[in-house]
Amino acid sequence: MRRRVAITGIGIVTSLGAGKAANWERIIAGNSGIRPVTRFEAGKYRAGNAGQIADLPAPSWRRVRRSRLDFASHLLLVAFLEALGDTGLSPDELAACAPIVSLGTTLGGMISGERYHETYMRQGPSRALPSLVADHLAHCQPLHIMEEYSLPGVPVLFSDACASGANAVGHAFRAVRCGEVDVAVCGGYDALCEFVFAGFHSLQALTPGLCRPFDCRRDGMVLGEGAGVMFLEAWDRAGARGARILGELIGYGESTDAFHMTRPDPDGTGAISSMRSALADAGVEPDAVGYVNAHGTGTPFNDAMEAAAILDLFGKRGEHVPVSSTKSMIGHLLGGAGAVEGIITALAVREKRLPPNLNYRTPDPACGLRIVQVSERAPCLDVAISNSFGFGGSNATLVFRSPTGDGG
Amino acid sequence: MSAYITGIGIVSPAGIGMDDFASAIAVPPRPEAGFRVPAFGLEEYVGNPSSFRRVADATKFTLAAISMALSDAGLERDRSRVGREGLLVGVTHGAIDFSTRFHQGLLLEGPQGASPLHFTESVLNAPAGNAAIAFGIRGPVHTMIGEETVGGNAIGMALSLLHSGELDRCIVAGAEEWVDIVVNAYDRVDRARGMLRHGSDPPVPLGEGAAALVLETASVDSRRRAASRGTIRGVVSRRLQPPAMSATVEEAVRAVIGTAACRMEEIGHVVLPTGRNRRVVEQGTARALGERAGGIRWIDIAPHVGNPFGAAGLMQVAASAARRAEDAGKCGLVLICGIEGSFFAVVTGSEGR
Repeated sequence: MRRRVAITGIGIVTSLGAGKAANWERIIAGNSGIRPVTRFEAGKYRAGNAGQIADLPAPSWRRVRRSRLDFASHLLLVAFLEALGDTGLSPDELAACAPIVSLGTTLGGMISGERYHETYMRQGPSRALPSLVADHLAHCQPLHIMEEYSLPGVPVLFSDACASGANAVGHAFRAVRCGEVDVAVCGGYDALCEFVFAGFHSLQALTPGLCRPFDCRRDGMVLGEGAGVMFLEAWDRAGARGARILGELIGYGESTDAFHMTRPDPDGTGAISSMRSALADAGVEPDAVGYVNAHGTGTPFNDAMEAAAILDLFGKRGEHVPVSSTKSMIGHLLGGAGAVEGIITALAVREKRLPPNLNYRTPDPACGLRIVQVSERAPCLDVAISNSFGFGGSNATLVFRSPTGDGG
Repeated sequence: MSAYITGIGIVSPAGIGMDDFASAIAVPPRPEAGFRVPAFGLEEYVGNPSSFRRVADATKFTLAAISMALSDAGLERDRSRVGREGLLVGVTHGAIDFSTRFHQGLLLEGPQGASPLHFTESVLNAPAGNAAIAFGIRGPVHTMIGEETVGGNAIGMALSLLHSGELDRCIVAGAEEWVDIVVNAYDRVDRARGMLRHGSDPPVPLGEGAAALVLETASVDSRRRAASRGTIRGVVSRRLQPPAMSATVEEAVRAVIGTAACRMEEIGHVVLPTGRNRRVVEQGTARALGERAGGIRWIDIAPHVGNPFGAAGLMQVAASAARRAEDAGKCGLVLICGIEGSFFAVVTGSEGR
């Protein structure tokens, strides 16, 4: 059984704001959510900026004790609530659907983990709060959402580095498409913390300047934080209950480089395989793709590899396919990246508009892509792909189609 | 949905390798043995051990277990293997030792004291990423995070990938390492939750190790003419929530036996959880099995391996597979339960060459 999969709910929170309307408006306007880090003392680092969320609307928890939760749980709930609102389902109706909950993160509640370890180290084990342990563990954030909304079952949580969110969405997509479930809650999240900031600093992967994906002067990434949640639903079921269909997810591909823990395979073999298998899964040819939301971290290695892979996939047309990276505006959301960027891709297809790639000034001849520098109208845009490539060589590609498309 | 188990690899406090593990759990535990894996090197498990000399214990255990599972399955571990192959690794805490060392360096010495080596190995998908590199796995490679039940998640997803035709073969693995701070943390959590009170269900101490299974569908298994360690015949998952925890277990056991097309009287053994909520799981299962419960062998690996969290479920399945000869023609029931109430019931079979 292969059913069509509708997107009936979208929730997003990034440093550009909470909500898809705010994010889309600011992305199209070319606004940047990158600002000086204030969550921890960042002056000691070579880089001091990130896509840190300034004002998170306080989510209202009904059952779970709010004060005990990691910031990552709050991010996830904000995105979940917006997406749930789109679906038109009441919490009871959602629980009755017994949806699969499939999420991605890299380090879960690491802010709590940092606090626990610092107290443990400086004041002794007896002073460290046991509640921080549960908040730190990555599987607890999905469990908090499920507890809050009485969702049955056991969550599926992926930690495939920067491809976590895309793989979580892909897994949910397969579960709905094959009839395993009718409704899926999926997405990804990560909160900015010093542990991760220091980690990427130690790898010399952070830029002290601007994130410039595919630009000749690119010299590193900028971290961000946020969450993206989608509700996927069997197309016919969504139509039958009169749900508003926001987009269609039509394909998912994945592969592994098996090359190096932190560096991508420069040949781009894994990235090409991921994109090819996603398009084959969707049953569309590369010629149908009108936009690529690139992984585009702004690091020399990733962008060169990804550009080569895109050119290989599209052949002669490769130089003309519009490409942009959302990370130039919101930073790298790690476990949240694949989900949030997937959502931006779905919105681009829906709105027939291409999001820009900020800070692209000097084309890199080695990349040779058609980078979208300012937002453009794309009235013929029907199919787009979103790439996510992570540590450990994990590659994932999602394929989105306009909800007004013919459905092929 | 079912799959053949064509290879098993184990790194446990009770022994390294399936034979040692099976022998150890068949006799009473040695209390002095503890729940740590004995020291070993990677030389006999990977082709290029120097590339992995600085990995965390969780990664080291995973590499050894997968290597043993591939060898057990008759698959070359250093060459490209035929067919579409994936890897799912279940983890609860990951490389906490490296994480805390990285953070300690940061706290005490600032950014210059934070080692990139420790950071790279502290990411939760380090065991899976390293295993993909070591064994040339280029299909889906995922790290799944969860409680002690994460092995059940991995088995369930592997069955889906195999039966949807995405994969011909799926390696599922789980890993955990023993670290002071985790032992201390659970002691404090257990105290806070009243689990150490007299008369309560006492938690099992932290263990460590890794387990790996090679799963293949019947068609691939017969094409390869691989030997079989048994089968996975069905998986069911539930969340256990008070006050109906035991009743939920009872319902889940009935459900998985139905899913596996098995009959209650065919259950030859039950493998108990190593995680929390052991007593309610035992009670609910006994109710589901009814009068037959007394005639069934109940296997508890916790006294031998402790609670190896991310590796727990797959070690339990390995313990079930170890009973294959004694329970020929029968099924095993593996019960995996987590500290937050996740629960998996897995039915194993003794079928195969």
